[in-house]
Amino acid sequence: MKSFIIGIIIVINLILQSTLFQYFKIFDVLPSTGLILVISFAIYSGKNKGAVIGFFVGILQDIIFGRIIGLNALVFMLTGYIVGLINRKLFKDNLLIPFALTALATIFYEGVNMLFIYLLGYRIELFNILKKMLIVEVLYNSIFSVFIYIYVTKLFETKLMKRRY
Amino acid sequence: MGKRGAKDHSGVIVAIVVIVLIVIMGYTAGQREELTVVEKWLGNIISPVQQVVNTGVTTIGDGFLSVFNVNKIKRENTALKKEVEELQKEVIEYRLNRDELDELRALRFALNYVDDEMEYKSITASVIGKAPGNWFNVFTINVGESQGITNNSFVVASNGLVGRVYEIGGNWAKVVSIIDNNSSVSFQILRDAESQGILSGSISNELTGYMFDPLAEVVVGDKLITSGLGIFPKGVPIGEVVDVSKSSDQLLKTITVEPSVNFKSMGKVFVMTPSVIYE
Repeated sequence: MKSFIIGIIIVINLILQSTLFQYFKIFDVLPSTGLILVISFAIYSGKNKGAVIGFFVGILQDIIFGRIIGLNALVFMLTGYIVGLINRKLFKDNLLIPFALTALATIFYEGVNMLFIYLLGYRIELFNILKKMLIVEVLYNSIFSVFIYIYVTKLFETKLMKRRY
Repeated sequence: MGKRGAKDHSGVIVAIVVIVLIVIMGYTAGQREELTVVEKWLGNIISPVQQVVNTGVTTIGDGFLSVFNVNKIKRENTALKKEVEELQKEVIEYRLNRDELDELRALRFALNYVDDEMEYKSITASVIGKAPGNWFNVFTINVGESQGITNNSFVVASNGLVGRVYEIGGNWAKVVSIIDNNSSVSFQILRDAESQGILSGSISNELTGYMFDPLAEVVVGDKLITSGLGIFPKGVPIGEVVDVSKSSDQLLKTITVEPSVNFKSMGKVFVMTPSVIYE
């Protein structure tokens, strides 16, 4: 049941990201709600499930929109795994946690992305990347993550109640 | 002990999956002739849902925007009316020219000229989703293999070139727009067919390019069309030059172009498929 609901949320997120969220672009930057969802789920479900969730979010995005299959899957899976590794040491009620984690994860995501895109022979403009990806996207994602984290927290609380029965 | 063993396993599995994904990335980095069954199947399921959501969202979004922009729309309306009048005058002129062209074409046929013009079949498609993520400028449309489009198809909007079809599923296709980082188009200046060059997109979604001939004359406001080299046919409008720069350390003249298509709000596009495919 739990994985079914998470799966539905992942698909809905992909559809919304490609349609509705295009209206929320700031400075031409789209909030990476997929990444935020992976982090929020990984905080609550641990490294193994975090990695699996990350893999599926990424591979879906790659198949439907990507030019290179596997790029997002790789980065999202690693993000989910790493966040899941440290989830036991986190104080989950603090809203600073998703904020800081998302900021770090976004930098990690863009860094790995940039490395692979560079290795695959695409053009890289460092100044534009710094401006657009690192400053605007990190801030935007982090702020967005707080709201998504609150909802994910609520979701997991209700579902844990269900699982006991 | 057992718990620790399980822990080590997860790390190994993640490492193996990472390596497999890197191999897949290497394999799929270029344009592929055909998508795998899984990809097609997944796209076939998701794209209809996307289309429904997108239609709803754009209807509501445009409704909201138009409420806020009533004044702007009024101004636009008067400007457009003026333009229509001017264009109608031009149409009459062109109609006369066309009659002459038809006569000349008939003459050419009579003289047994080889017909070198390719014929294109056009299909109207809706944009159903844009890529999440900021690296690539890719979007999906609601026509695919079953409507007869191929990897050689390209996409135009009513006012200019949009991009080319990248990969095709059953009833959907991925389109890479011309402002995508790593896509390039060869162009010529509308008023002077001799001045040609290459335009490419970038991460900041700007079209920049250079002229083949550094001495070619190009000024701000020049209209650009495709030159016919590459997969795009000759004569599709691309945009307008907004900036020309020539730095002393660069031999080439670089230009910045504003595309005539508004990539932020695209609803309907035309997919043009060449009916003859040269191997």
